[in-house]
Amino acid sequence: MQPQSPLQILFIVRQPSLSDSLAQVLSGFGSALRWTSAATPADVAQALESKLDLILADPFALEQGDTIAYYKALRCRLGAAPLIALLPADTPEYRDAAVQMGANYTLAWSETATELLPVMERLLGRKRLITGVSKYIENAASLSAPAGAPAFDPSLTERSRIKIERLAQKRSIPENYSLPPISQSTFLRGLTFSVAAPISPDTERVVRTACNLNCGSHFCGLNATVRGGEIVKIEAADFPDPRYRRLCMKGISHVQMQAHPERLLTPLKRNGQRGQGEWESISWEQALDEIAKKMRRLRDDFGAESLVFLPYSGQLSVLNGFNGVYLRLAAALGASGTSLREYGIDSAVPSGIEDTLGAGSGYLANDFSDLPNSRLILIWGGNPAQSRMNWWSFFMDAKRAGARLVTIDPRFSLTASKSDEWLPIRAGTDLHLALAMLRLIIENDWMDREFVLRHTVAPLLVREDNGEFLRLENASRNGDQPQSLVWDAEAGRALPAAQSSSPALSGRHVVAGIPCRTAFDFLREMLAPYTPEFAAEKTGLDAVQILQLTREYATVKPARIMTLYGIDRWNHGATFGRLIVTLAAFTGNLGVHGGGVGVDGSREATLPASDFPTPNGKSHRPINPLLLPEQIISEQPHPIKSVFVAFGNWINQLPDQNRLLHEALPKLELLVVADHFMTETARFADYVLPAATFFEREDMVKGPGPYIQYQPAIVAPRGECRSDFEIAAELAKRLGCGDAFEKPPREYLVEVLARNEDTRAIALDELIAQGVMKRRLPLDWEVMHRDLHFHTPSGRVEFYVERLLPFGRALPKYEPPLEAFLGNELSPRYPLVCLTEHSRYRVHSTFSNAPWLREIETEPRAAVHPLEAERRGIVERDWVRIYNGRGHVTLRVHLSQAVPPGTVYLSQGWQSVDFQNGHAQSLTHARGNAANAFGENSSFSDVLVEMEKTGESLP
Amino acid sequence: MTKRLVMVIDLQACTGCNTCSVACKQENNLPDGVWWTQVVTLGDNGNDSPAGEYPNLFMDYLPLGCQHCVNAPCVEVCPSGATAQTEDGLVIQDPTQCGGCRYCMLVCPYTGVRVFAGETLRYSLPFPTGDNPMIHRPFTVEKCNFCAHRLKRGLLPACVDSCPMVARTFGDLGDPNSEVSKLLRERPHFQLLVEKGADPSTFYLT
Repeated sequence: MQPQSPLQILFIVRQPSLSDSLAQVLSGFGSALRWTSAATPADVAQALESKLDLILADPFALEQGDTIAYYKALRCRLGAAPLIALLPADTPEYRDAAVQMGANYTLAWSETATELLPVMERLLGRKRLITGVSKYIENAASLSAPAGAPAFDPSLTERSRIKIERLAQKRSIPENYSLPPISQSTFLRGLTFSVAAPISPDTERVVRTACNLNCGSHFCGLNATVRGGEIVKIEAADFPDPRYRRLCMKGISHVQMQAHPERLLTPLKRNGQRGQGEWESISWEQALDEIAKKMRRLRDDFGAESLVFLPYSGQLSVLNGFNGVYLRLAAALGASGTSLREYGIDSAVPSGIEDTLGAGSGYLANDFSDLPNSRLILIWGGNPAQSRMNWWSFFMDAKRAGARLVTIDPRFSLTASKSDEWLPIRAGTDLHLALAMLRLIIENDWMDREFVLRHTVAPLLVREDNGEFLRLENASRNGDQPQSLVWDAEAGRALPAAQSSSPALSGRHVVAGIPCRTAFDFLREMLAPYTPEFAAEKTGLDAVQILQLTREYATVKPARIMTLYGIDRWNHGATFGRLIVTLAAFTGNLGVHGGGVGVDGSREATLPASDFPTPNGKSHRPINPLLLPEQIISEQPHPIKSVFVAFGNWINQLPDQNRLLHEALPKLELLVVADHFMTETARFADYVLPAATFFEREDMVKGPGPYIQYQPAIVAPRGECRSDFEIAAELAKRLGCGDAFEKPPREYLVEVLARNEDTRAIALDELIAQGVMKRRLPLDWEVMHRDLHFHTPSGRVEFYVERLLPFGRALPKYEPPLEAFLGNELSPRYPLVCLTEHSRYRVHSTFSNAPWLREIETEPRAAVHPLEAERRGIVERDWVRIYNGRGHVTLRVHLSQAVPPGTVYLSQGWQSVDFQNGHAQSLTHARGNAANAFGENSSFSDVLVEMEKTGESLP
Repeated sequence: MTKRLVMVIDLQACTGCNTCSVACKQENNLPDGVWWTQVVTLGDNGNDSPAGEYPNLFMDYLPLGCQHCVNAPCVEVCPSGATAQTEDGLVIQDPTQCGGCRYCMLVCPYTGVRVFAGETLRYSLPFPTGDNPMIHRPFTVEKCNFCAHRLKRGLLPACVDSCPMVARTFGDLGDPNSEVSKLLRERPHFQLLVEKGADPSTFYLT
C-alpha cells in the first residue's frame, strides 16, 4: 500500500558504512520515504519534535549512561511508531537486551540488506492495527460494563489523585489470596476413568472423551472434569501427535449444553395441534408403546416402507449416530431410512469428484496434515479458517513452511483475510473461472503431458456417433475389463490403451468404419470460447489476474485445490467438482504429497465401515432427504406415513420449509423426534423423546486424522434421558425385531473395529483404557490416489464421463445456475443472490441456545453491502424482511463491506425462535440436479431474493 | 534477570474465534455478560467486519485482556489493596478486597479490560464451572489474573491452554531460554499504547 505522505524515518547510527547501507536499501522507496540521522541524544530530541514513523537504532551509537532506560523512555515517546534495533552481532544476549529496550524487532547489521524491507513492511503495516486499538479503546468503556452498571463518576478522577498521595506501598499480594487444596484426582488429566467404577457424585475426576458433532473439524479429544455429578470443565485432551490436541469454544460450551435448563428430561406427547407447543409429560413405557402401536398399524396399512427413520449427521458416533442404531432398526423392520449415498446436502461437488476420480473418491482428499507439503493452496469456495477452524492450524503450518494461500470467494471471508491473495469472484460464476483456467493450461501447454496421457482419458478415442469410448470389438461394456482404444502414433493404428506406447493426444480417425476423436480434442473444442477475457467479463475478475493465477497453479508444484461446500450449494456443483479435478490432473497434482484436489481435507471417511446398519446383510430402503417431502406429498413411489427424526433438525436444515411444513407434514400420521432440546423439528412432532448426550452413553468415534477415540459414559443421563441405542432397542422389541439389538453396545463396537482393516488389531478394552489409539494406516496414508489407480470404469481420471451421456453432460460443460444468474426473468423482482454460510459459533442449529456463545453471536443478521442498504433506505441494525416467491424471513441487517453488492448473506442454522418472523429456510428451494452421482442436492445458495425495511411497529 | 511473566500473542495465527474468551469464562466461572478477555476485530462495524471498501479490505483480530503492566497505574491508585502486583509481574485483582471505587478503571490505559460487576450476578448454570475458587461479588471490579490459581498448580492460563491456533504463549521473559524470550527475540512485535508508559506484559507478534 502506498502511503499518503512520505514516511519519516530516523537513523540512530554512528558507523558511516551502516548509515550508507541503510540509505541504499531505503533509496528504493524514492519519495515515499524521508530519513534523517541522529548521532547524539540532542539530535534525537530534536528529531522527536516532528512526527516519526520508524526508528532504526544502533543501541551503541549514542554516548549516554543507561542505554536500556534511555531507549525505554524513547520507546514510550514513539507511541505506535516501531523501533528496530540494529545489532553489531547477532547473539541471543544482544537480542534480549534489545527486547528489554522496547525494540519491536532486532536485526544484525549483516542482515539489514536483505531483511530490513520485509520487516519494515510488516511493522509499518501493524501501525494501522495499533492505531485501531486506540480507536477501539476510546469506544470500549460501554462494552466493559454489563448493562445496568452505573456510569462513571467524573469526580472519581479528582478523588483518586488525592488518594494516591495517601497510599501506602501496596505492591504485595494480599495474604488471603490463597487457594484451597486441589484434589489429587484433578491431576490425573489424560488418564482414563474406568467405566467399571461406580459413578459417585461426590468425587472429582477428569475423564477423557471425544466430541462427536459434525462441525467439519471432527473429532476433538476432550477432558471433562466432573464434580458433584456435573461436568464443570472441558479442556483439550492430549494426543500422541500434539498437533491434534485442540478444542474450540463450542466444545467448551458442552458444559453449558449438558446442564442446560432447556434439556428435554421426559418423553413428551403432543396435546392440541401440531406445533402449538402443548405437551404432556408421559412415561417411557407409554411413549414407546404408543409409538410402536402406531407404527405397527401403519406398517399393516401402508407397508413397512411407509415408515421412515431419518437420522442425520448431528452426531457421528459409531452406534449412536448417523449410520447407527436407527438405520439398523429400519433395516430390521424393512422400513425406509436416510440414504447413505444420497444425503441431499453436501453431495454435488463430491458427485463430480466421484465421477472423475472414481468410486470412493467423492468426499476424500489428501489429508489436512499433508497441507504443509503444499507450495500453493487454492481455497476455492470455502472458508476453512471459520468452518474448519481446528484444521486451520495446518494451513498456518503450510504458510509458515512457505506455501502461498490464495482464496477465491465472492466474500472477504476470514480465510480471505488470512490469505496471501484474495480473488473476489462474482457469486455463481466459478465454472467460468475453472473453464478459463483449464483452457489456458492447455493452450499454453502448461500440461503435465505424461500424466495426461497415462492417467487421464485424454487419449481415449470417443465415437462421434454415440459419444461412447471406442472399445475392442466384441468387448461388452459391462463385461470384464472392456478395453478402451487409443490411437497409437507409432503403430499408426488404434490399440488398447494398455498396449500403446505412444498414444496420440489429439486426432480424428476412422476405426472400423467408426469416426472417432480423442477425448482431449472434445474437451479442447468445448473449452474454445472460455478465454480469460470472457471469464473476466463473467466473474468480475481481471483477465490478467486469471492468467497469473493459472500460471501459478500450473507451474508451482505441488499445488492443491481445496473447496468446501460453498459451490456445492449451486446447481452446477458437480460440474465444478469435475473441473477442479481436471485442473489437478492436467497439472499432474494428483497422488502426490502437497498436491491433490477435493472437497474438505479428509483422506479417510468420517465414519468407519460398519455392518451395524445392515443386520444379517439386510438394508433399509434408502431415501434422499431432499426428495422426502415430495415423496410424502405425491405418495410416489409409495406412501410415507411416519417419520422418526434423530441426530438432526429436519425442518431447520432442509430447504423449502413452507412446502415441508404446510404440504408434507400434514400428510404424516406420525412424527417422532429424539433430541436433547425442543428443536423446531421437535416442536412439530407428535412424540418427543429425550435422548442422552455423548457424555451419558458409551460409544466411539473415528478421528481426528489417524486416530480412533473412545467415548465413555461420564455422567448419568439427565432426567429420564435414554441413549439412542436404548430407544431403538426398546422400539425394536415392540415391533417384533428385538433380536437386532440383543447384544450390549460394546459387542457391536468390537464388531465394527474388526470390520475395518485399520482397526482390526485394536482391542476394545485397550481403546477403553487408553481413550485414543492410532489406527493402522499405510505409509503415505495422507495422500489420496498415491498409486494413481482410479476406480473409474477406465481406471483413469475421467473428465469425460459416459454415465452422463444421457444427460448430455459427458463433458464438464458450462451449466448455468438454476435461479441466481444475471438476466433471470426473476431478477427484476428478486435482484439479490442469497447465500448461506456456517457460523463458527454454532454447528448447524446445535449451540444456537448456548449462553456463552450467544453473548458473542447474539442474533441472526443479514449481511449486505452498504450500497444495497442505502438503495432501500436501510441502516445498520434495521429490521429487514427478506423474501421471494417461496417465503420470507425478518431479521436484523448488518452492513458489511465484506460482501459484494448484489448479495445478501445469511448464516444457516438459526431456528424460528431466533427470527423476528418467518424463516431463512423458507427462501430456499428443493430443486436438485438429477445428473449427480450422489443424487439430487440442495442448491441453498442458488437463490434469488429481495430485501425491504419492515414497518416501524416492530420492537 | 528478575522473573517477569508475560503473554505473547501471535496475531498472524489468531483467527478471532474466541475460544480463549470462552475458556476464560469457563475457568473463572464468569457471570453472564462478564468477560475478562475478548477478541476485538480491528476492522469496521463490529465483530468480523473488515475495514476498507470492497474489494480493498483488511481485517485483524486483537485478543484483549488485562495487559499486566510493570508500571501498573491501577496498583498505584487502589485504595484497598485489592489490586496488587506479584513479584513475578502479575497484576492481581482480588474482589474480596475491592470496594468498587473503580479508580483502577479510570487510570487503566486500556479501557475495556476491566469489568465492573453490577448489582445482580447471573449465571446460566446452577453450579460453578472451572477451577478458580474466586467468588464473584456485586459492585466489584474484576479482570484477568493470568489464571494465577492455575499457575500455582503448574498449569498455563486457560486462554493459552485452549487456543486451537497456539497463538498464545506464556512464560518468563527473565529466562532467556523461555519460549516467550525466544519469540520476542525472533519475531517483530509490539505492545499496546507504549506511549502511556505502563510497560505492559502482553506482547503481540505481527
